[in-house]
Amino acid sequence: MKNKIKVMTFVFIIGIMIALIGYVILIPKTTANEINRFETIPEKPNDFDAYTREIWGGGLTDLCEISEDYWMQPEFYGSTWENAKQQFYTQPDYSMWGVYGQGNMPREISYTLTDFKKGDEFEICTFFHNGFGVWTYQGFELVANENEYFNIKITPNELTMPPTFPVFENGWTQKITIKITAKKEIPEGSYNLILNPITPSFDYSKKETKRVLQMTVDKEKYKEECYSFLNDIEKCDYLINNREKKYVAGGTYQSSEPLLKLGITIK
Amino acid sequence: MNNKILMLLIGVFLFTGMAGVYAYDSSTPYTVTMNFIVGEDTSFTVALAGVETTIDFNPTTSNSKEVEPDSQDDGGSTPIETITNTGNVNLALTHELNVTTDFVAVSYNAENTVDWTKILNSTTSSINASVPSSETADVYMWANFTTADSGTTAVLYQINSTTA
Repeated sequence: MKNKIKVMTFVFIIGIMIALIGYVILIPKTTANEINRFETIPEKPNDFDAYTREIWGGGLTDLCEISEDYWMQPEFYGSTWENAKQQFYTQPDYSMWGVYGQGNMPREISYTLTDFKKGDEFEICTFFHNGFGVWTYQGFELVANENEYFNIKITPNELTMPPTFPVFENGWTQKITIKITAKKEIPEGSYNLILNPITPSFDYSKKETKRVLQMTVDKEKYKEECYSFLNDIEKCDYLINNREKKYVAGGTYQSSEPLLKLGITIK
Repeated sequence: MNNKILMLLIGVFLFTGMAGVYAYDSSTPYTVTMNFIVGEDTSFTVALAGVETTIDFNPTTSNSKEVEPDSQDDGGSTPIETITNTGNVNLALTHELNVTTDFVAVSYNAENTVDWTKILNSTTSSINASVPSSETADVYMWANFTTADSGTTAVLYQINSTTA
């Protein structure tokens, strides 16, 4: 009888130990300071998929009317976001610093204007965003190529894009309005306009450098995440302290693929 | 090829279904028809090692050889820069300097070993002929100094990309 009790006690203790080991190994570890990368992003509308289907399928043609609840979602940027998610957010590499880069949606858009006369104007919108995995405040000036027949006004034409890493900060993507006005009577035909980012003015960068430095950043949670990947407290302190609140003049690294191609056919 | 197909399909749909989106002037209105929209994003990210926002070589003497830029660690496989193609089209990446300096020669490689057949100067040279969507291109650099001037010399480093 005594032996039976001893065996049962032994089995019970072993069972508890196995359960504890299983808990430690299998239950995902979370910390009170775990980073919520998407805190500033509005709640995704429950018809998000239906809207994006119509926008990129051509069912909704006025991009200016789209609510920010849609275009502020990283998923609005389709496969670009899917490409970036694993690389920059699931397994971030803190030894490298995303400093430059940008993107725009859509890539190309084409309109036909009929009876478009001197002084007529129309507006289109596009969505310009900081590169994924970028932890700098990037200043840009947006410019269009010169054209004999069209005046092009871009609003805003000088802007700063906040980081998309470690968290998406408010304003990481912005709606850009492009107002196109006929300078004079336009012959029938096809015209190509191109939008590109360039380095902003020195005065703008100077002002923005100061503004960014005055911001308040809770960097301790970023350090904790860095430790969890690099396992080096001293290095992480150095990296995070030197990366926070950094403004850079964007537009120095560019793709030959324009930010936006706008085709206009006049009839 | 996929992009072209997508554009064609969307174009056909819109030509048949979306005439006369809106008119601006009610007395003599013009009409706008959207022909097609390419719902893709041409985005990329350039990451630099450590805490660098520029590429800086700091030789210990005026004749230092195979100097790595600050924060690069070829032994630890940390390149000075990594370019990620997060867009939808393959990119061919090249780079160049705006001027070639007499007292410094710069070599580059996608691998962490020095290859002096790959020289970075004012002539365009290839980083990677085709970086697919979601892939990255690493760049390591080394500099040989020969009777270098004292002080700081700044040159412009430029990355170019074209659709591959």
